Amino acid sequence: MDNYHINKGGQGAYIESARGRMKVTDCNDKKIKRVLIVGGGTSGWIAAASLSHLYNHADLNIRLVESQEIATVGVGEATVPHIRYFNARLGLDEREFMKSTQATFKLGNEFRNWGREGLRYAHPFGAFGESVAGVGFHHHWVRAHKKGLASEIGDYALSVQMMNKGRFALPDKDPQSVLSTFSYAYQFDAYLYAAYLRKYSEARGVVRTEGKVTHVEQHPETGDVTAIQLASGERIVADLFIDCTGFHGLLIEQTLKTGYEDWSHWLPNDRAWAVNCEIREGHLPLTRNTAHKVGWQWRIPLQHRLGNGYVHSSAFIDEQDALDTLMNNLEGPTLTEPKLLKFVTGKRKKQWNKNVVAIGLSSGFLEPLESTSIHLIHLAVTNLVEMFPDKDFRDEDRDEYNRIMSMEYTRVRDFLILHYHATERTDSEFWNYCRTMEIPDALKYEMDLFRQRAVVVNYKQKFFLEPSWLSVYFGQGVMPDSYDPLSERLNDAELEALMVHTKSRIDQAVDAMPSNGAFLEAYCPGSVTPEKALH
Amino acid sequence: MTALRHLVIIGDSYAAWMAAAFLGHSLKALDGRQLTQVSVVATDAPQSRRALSAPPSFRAFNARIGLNEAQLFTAAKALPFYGSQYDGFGDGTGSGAFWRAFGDYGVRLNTAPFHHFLTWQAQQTGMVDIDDYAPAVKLAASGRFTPPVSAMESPLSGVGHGLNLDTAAYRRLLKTASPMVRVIEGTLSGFSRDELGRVSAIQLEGGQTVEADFFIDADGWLTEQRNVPFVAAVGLSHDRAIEVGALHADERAANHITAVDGGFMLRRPVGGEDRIRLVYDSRQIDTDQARNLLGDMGAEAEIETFVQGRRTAFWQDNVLSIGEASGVLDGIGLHELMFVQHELTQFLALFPDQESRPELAREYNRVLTQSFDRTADFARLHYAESGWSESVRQKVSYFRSRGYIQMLDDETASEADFLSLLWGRGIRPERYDRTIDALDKALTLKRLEQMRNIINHEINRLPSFAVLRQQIEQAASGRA
Ligand SMILES: Cc1cc2nc3c(=O)[nH]c(=O)nc-3n(C[C@H](O)[C@H](O)[C@H](O)COP(=O)(O)OP(=O)(O)OC[C@H]3O[C@@H](n4cnc5c(N)ncnc54)[C@H](O)[C@@H]3O)c2cc1C
Repeated sequence: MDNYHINKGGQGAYIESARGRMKVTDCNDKKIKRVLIVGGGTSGWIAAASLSHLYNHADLNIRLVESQEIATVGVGEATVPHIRYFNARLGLDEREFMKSTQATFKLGNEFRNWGREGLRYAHPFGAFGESVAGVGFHHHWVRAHKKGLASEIGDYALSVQMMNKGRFALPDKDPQSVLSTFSYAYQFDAYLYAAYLRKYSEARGVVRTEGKVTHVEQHPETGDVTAIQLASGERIVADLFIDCTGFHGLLIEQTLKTGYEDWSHWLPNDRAWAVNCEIREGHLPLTRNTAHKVGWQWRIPLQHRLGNGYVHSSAFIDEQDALDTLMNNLEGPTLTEPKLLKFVTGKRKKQWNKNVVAIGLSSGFLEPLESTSIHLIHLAVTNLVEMFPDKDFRDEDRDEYNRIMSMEYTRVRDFLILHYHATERTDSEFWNYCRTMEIPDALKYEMDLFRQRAVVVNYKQKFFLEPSWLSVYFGQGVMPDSYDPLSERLNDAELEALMVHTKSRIDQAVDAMPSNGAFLEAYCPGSVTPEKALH
Repeated sequence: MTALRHLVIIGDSYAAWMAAAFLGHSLKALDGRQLTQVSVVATDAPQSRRALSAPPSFRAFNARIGLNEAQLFTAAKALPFYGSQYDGFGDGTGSGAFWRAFGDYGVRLNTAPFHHFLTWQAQQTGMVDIDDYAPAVKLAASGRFTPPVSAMESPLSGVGHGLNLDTAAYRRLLKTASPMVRVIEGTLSGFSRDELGRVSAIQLEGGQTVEADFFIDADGWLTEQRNVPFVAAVGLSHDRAIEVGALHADERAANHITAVDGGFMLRRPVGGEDRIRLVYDSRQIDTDQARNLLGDMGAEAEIETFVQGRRTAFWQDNVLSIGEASGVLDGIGLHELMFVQHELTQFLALFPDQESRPELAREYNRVLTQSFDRTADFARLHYAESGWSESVRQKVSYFRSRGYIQMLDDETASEADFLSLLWGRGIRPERYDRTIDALDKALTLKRLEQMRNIINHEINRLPSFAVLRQQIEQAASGRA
């Protein structure tokens, strides 16, 4: 047992014990008391909700400033499964959350025309088969495929078959059940999501102020941000500033001039037209990303409407042609005016600089091809909580935060580049560029290993894991030269039986599920009308 | 793609036989065919008689080769242990007496890692004992035992026992567990390469030639002959060891690691006795002093010499180096068996065929050299700051600053391992996670007290380890 004596000497307080000495941060004057979040888009309200949930209101005053004059981006509606853990942490009720945000279920992304025109594949939130004889299922599949004993890889993933057939059921926790082999995320209305989190945050003491920031004050020596001023003349002082001003990067860039790492030579898209329209083709539990001659188009079904957008590169197509491409590829009448968004793919050199943490679009941008932005916001907030600073803003906290976030951005980036680079398309300058460009070394390393032996590199910090990489590789026609030789522990008859059995087990399970539309309507009706829920 | 026809393991060490048993089993088809013939060229290099320790995950390795724990108890002189009691590892301010055991500390009460509550408790009440929250430590310290508990709600569910065993006995057992493996005895005299520079055969004294398309060097000779560069582990200075046997001195399932000037003494129970190993730096302790430290038993014992460090590549062309042929550390982290297990599992995951595929070796080397360096860092953390690497320094400064435990890619120690060691060595966080302040103080203190009580209550109901050990030893001597 350690007995501690609190010893307040000249150099601050220490707790001493037989086993060691512990410096006690003089809690009350070092603790950050005031946090100001600038920006009330998705990132601002995610930050507000999390911090207000986790910290004591009396201890930490959280304010949020947003300006109605400066619109939020208003997109960002497809997510990845981690959002469910994040919601659970906030204590949200799933049905109520889905109802309030017009949310739908998402089992993965469907890709059309990526590896080749006419090619279609799914990147599900789920596994392909099970390992047998100590060998990952996909090795057996590669071998079976080479022998003509297997159909496409998606036939061996429950989640892909659910996507293909438009079915849905909740996963089962029992690892023996085939229903434990998938996960799901949501698609929701970005404005309703922000509004939902705003209500949540305000109920927990977050004070929202409407107004445009017109001036930022900095400490004359340290350069730390000390206060902001609003157009109304109001001045708000804080210890920690969270920059959620979107592409404006008001504090992190306009004020602190942090600098930006530009990745657009690898991901050349820099524009998106976005428009909402009526939903006509029914409720499939997926986001669809269709490649065009330049860039690609998203289709995100919500309960009450469809979100559409065309992500493209201004170097390869002009604005009007891009708009026409989008408008000619809608399935129903539009509900909004098309909106043009401009961006540069990359990230801030430091996402946490001095006493400013940039979260959301102000921290960097990776195109929504794998719906990762909101996840990166959640991750940023989680890491900020883990590294939450005191007024002395230590380098340790900042450096580790920046290291982790930078690694996450980089690894997601490489996964996105794979989608563009692993293609046979030669029908446009755009695809010729992507197919032949130099790629980052780490990605080249991964692709070389995969091409040899169907192995996916496994890093501790890597958001997209083996099944994700497998679906893109196989889906875009990257076939490995060899598979794990231990697959030969199964003879050909055993191999064939494995393929047949896996597939039929999945088909049976999927055929017993309700349609996604029916499930949604029963589970969390927002305003799904029967004719909209065709599936 | 064509499977390897013949894979040859060189050496007679425990690592050689772990490879033989593991690959022999893994390369067997479900219908009984052997995909690749595995042979062991059992060299006559002397094998030191010593004990080794393994973490709970070692059970999976043995299960894979068809060995159960009862067999290990009786035939490999194995005994379970829960952790190690350290003494004399302070950073200058404390005694450096502490425990490191196989299990976590506490249960999360909010999103913050539990150990932040230790710092919080210390600041609130002026006293905390980290061991109060570690069921594995309690088990070890109180001399009790439990078979693995699977019920999730039990505080014992995350606790597992590792094993101490006698390497000579384990080797003998592994031989019996490798029925498909061909054994060739001999002394290495040379090797030949094919036109691509790959090793095509090894020669034995007396003229015998053994051809194969892949070689695993668990002896070191082939690695040395091929001049694979060796890099010393900076900051790790121990280079000698002596091991002796002694009577059991402790009735608990625990090892003892005691610091001495210039080295450490590791005492671990194996079947029938305790093995005591003195590991030291020959620049600080000379041979006579070393022998004296071990008393009478030290007079005759053989002195092992080693240099800590690793090869720059563990897999080059068609030769894989494992165990001491790939790298050597002083063993303070009890890493040896775990590391060979890791090497073999990774090798199997990247198993070669007859083609030359440098990508496989490159990935294997990336993972294993990094794992080795992390393991070396864990060892460095036991010693004086002057020997720390930059990455150790960073870990310590993060922990000291805010109780944050930085876990990197390919870490071989767990978060709990780092916590025990950092805390035990007297490195204490200055701050705790602020989310704790949002909890009700009285209620949190109460919940911590409940946690301590439940752990105590559960532990106190368990039988003593001495009884189990007697049973094990009776069974073992009955068999012998
Ligand atoms: C084309 C496109 C598609 C996307 N699709 C997806 C997707 O499918 N999935 C996904 O996860 N993410 C997606 N994203 C990303 C996602 O939209 C954003 O990550 C998310 O909306 C967060 O935006 P934000 O809150 O950082 O910025 P914004 O929404 O731009 O909010 C900025 C806020 O800052 C305020 N502000 C700015 N300047 C000032 C000032 N001077 N004074 C006061 N207030 C100010 C504004 O009023 C506003 O409230 C997409 C992004 C784009 C561009």
